[in-house]
Amino acid sequence: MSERELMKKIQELAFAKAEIQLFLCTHEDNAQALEDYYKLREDLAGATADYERKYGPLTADAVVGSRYSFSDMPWPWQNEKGGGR
Amino acid sequence: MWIYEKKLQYPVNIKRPSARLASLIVSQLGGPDGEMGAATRYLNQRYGMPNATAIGTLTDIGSEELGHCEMIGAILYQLTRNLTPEQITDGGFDKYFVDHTTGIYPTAAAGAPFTAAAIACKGDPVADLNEDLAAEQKARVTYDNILRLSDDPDVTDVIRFLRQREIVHYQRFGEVLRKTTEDLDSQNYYAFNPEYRM
Repeated sequence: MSERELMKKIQELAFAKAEIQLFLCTHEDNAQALEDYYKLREDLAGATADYERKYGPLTADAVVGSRYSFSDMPWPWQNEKGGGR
Repeated sequence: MWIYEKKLQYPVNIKRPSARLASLIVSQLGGPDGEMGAATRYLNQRYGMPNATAIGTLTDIGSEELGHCEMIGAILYQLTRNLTPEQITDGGFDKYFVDHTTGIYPTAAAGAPFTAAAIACKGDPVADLNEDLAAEQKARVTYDNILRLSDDPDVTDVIRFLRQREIVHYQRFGEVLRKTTEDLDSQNYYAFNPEYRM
C-alpha cells in the first residue's frame, strides 16, 4: 500500500473508532458497540504499526532509530510537500 | 493530558488558492461559533458537570474540536499559498493580510478578533448543556453558509465533513442533557439550579 492509501485506511479506521467511542460515551452498556470498538481499536493499531514501520512516526512515542524523526516534513497540512492528508 | 497525532481527522487537499474563501472560512477558527471557541467551551465546562457521562462526552467532543481547529488551519494554509497582491485584494483578504500576512489568526469573517465571549461557561450543567446544543446548531448553520458560498469541490468536501460532525455532536449532547435532567429530583419540573450549593 502506498503512503497515501495506508494513511487513508488509518483515517477511516480512526474515524470509525472515534465515532463509536463518542456513541459509547452516552451508551456505556451497548454490547454491540463495545465489540465493534474493540475490533476497530485492534485494526487501527495494526494499520498504525504498519504505517510507522514504513513511513515514519505518527506520535513522538513511535520514534525509533538513531535520529529524532517526529518533526520531519511533511506535516499534515503541507500538501505541497506530500502532506495534505 | 493530550497526545499529538501527526494526521488530520479528515484529509484536506486544496489545489486552488482562494483569498475569498479564506476570508470567510477563518470565521470557523476564530468566529463566534468557530472551532476554537467550541474546544475551549467544552473542555472548560467539564469541571462543573455532575455525572460521568457529561464529563466523558465533553472530553471527547472538546478533543475532537481541537482536531477541527487544525483542519480549519490546514484549509486556510492551503487557500492562501502563492496568492498575488491582486488576488488578495480582489478576494477581500487585504484587510486581514495587512495585519497578519497569511498567518493563521483567529478572527471572525467580519474582522472581530477571537473573544472569550464565545466560550459560554455558566457553571450550571443544565444551562451549559443547552448552550452546547445551541452552539452545535450555530456552527452547523455557519458551515451551511460557507457551503452556499463555496465554489471549490475540494473545500466543499471538507466543510461537509465538519458540518456532519456538528450534527452528531448535537445528538450526543442531547442524550447527555436528557440523562442529566433525569438525574434531578423528579419534583424539579423546571430543572432549576440543580448544581450550585452554598
